[in-house]
Amino acid sequence: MRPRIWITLAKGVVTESIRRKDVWVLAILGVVIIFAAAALGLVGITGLEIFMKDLAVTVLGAFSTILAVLTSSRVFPEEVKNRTLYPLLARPVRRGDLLFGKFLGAVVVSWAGFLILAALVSAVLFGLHVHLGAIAFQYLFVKCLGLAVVCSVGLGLSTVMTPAAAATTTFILAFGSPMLSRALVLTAQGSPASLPVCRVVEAFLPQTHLFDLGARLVYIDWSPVSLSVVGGLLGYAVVYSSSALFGSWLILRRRAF
Amino acid sequence: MKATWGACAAIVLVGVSGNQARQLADVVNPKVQLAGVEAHETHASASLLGQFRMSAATWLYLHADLYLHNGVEMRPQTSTEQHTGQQSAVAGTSDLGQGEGTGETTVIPAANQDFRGWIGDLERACGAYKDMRGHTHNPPETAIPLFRLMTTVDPSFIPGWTMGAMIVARNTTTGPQDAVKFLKRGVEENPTEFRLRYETGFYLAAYSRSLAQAVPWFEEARKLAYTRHDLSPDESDSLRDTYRWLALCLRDMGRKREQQLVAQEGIARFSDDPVLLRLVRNG
Repeated sequence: MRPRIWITLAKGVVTESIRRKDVWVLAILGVVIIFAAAALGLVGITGLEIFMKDLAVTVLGAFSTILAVLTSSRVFPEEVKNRTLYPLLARPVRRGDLLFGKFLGAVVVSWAGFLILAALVSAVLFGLHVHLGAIAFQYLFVKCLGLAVVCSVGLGLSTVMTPAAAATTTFILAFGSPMLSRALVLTAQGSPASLPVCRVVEAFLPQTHLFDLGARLVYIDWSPVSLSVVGGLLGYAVVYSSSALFGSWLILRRRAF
Repeated sequence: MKATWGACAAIVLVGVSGNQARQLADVVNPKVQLAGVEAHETHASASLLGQFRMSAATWLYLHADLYLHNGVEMRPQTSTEQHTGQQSAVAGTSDLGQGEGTGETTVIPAANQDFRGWIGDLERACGAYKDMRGHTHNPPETAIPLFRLMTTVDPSFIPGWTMGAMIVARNTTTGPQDAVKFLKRGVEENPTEFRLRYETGFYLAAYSRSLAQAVPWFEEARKLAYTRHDLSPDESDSLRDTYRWLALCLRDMGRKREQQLVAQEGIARFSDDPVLLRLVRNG
């Protein structure tokens, strides 16, 4: 019963995303990437293979994160704003189902966008005779897990903030994740007394940078990561996303609409 | 139909104007700085383009270090790390020799400096991390195209030319000659820049031992920098080295009187420089 509700709600998010022409944005970005790569191809890319891969991974990471943040942080507030939430809640749809269905939809849109962009970028790189290697599949899988974490954060924050504030905060957390993590490590090193606080903050921060195998994909002779590491990342993504959604559900169930 | 023809005409027009734009290159981007108002001061688009070129070149420059270290990101040690005597992840040696990387450590912390436990372990396993003590570098040829690209994107980006020449010089047995060729292109693009002339002279003198060829480059660098009193720390170092190398070359060529003049002129600007002082005393 419930999976059917989740799938229906997720389909609604995907349809809304298509209606809002998010796919067009992706298509335009793809065309820009192709033109940029073609321009570099005209100059000649001999010796610039690493640079091309670096550029591709940077573009992929940035655009897919932007799409995930924008999709996840607006799906729930829009239901409230457009007053479409009330007929939904009048049906036998629990608030938890609503939250999870929206999360699934946001994840599907983010993954679809990411995979479309990845296919475009791979085609361009292939055309320029730049090969990615087997680690690319691992990169795609792990990045998808990271996007799910980003979606859970965006959706969770959108239940307590305005869409703009939620999107901004999620952007800061998603893109600033490595920087915030480094800052905590340095703070703990410089002031051992702050270690307990650093541990707590670290536990709450979404570690989205863990899901980026880009550097291993771009530079030479890095081996794929072991299955136990992928398992660890999967576990982290599941636990963190579940916790974020559970926290949002706790807030949402007490909220009067 | 009309719209299609209009679009085609617009594309042709853009193509033709783009083809003619090269002729305006020297006006929009003069190789010698004009004393009067420049394009970037009156045209927002020129200013934006300039900013983009500068940012792109700087971004590429920062990435060159990553290319040489195969993606392992480095940072300077903090004062706390230095004071507490924590072992540098680099430990001061590499295939570039003693000193390269001294006081640096990896951006992803080593396990013994990381409180994050398994999250830190995951990051070390997923990111480009390795123990950099006594580290080696990727072959320089991996970074050379990057320097060529950054100097093409922004020909006035001097660190791109100087660092690029250093990398080119390490490349093969013909490296120093290639470095000189690379720098000469930089000099063509930046005729008033004394650092590139100094660097050209340096590779001729230090690597190729062509003192007679090196001296004119040092002389030109000295002349260009002579009237400048607003030098940045890097420029100041280059000028001091110009005086040193010029005086040393002249000494080795037996031109003692000129060597004395150069060393004294250098002392007038860098009064505490031990090399120049010794050259004046022993000259």
